[in-house]
Amino acid sequence: MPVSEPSRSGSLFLCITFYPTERMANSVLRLVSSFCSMVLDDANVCSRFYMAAHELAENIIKYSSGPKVSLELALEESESSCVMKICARNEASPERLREVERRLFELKTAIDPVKHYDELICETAMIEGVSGLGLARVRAEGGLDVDYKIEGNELTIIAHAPVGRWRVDEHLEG
Amino acid sequence: MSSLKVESVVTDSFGIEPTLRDDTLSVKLTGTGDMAAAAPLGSYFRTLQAEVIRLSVSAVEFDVRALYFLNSSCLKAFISFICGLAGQGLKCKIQFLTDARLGWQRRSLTALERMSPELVSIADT
Repeated sequence: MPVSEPSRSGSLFLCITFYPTERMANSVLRLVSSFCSMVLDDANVCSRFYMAAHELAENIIKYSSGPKVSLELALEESESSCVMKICARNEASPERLREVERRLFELKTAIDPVKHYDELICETAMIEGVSGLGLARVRAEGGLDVDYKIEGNELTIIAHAPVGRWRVDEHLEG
Repeated sequence: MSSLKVESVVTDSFGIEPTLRDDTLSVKLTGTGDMAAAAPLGSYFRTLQAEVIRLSVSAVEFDVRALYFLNSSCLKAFISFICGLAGQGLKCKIQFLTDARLGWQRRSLTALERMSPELVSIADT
């Protein structure tokens, strides 16, 4: 069952729409880093989500064919769990969409994400120009599940994982 | 042994500083390994590979303790460097010095250790 996109009515929701340039990405990622540090209690958990957001942001910038891209972060709580979601969205060419759909399907359905990542590392080791590792890294190294949606020429990639604790006290105290 | 013929690299957000000690080539990386750093790092590693061969060093030590992020393109540059050395038949050891307080460093570099366990090691300090 496909995972839903981040909810605007979640406990926390951040949406940034920006021009797909390296300079803009740096500013956005500084904001994301602050957001993760502010929300997440554990430095290791924080760095996993930051890495995922960084890889997704670079991915949508590199392969965007549209004028703008967007990155959303949301913390969604239920009675029994708390989930952090990162959603990256861009417009891409049909060729790129076909290629990324193949990669994302393989990644999403890989039974062992670390083995999948290691295989990609070996396959791409001597290929120059592209890494081809960023999305696989999000799942293997970051431990986030990855889902995606393609509608027309718009690609949406969603990475998500449960988080144990977040800084709810600071939130309540302002 | 000749002196190093590879220079330091300093940009606004990223730095590479090589030193030669006995038969170990030490490379200190600082800053953020992001999109802007990937191309200089890849290019640097091609020069570094030639130096490793010319100087016949037995080990390359990457000190990443002052590195605050490494994206997949920068990781790929490390992968190509390590595979390039192995492809030349060199038995040069690759050691990463990491900051144990920055858990992401070992987590990110472990993939390189898995790729070439006979060449790559990671030491937390």
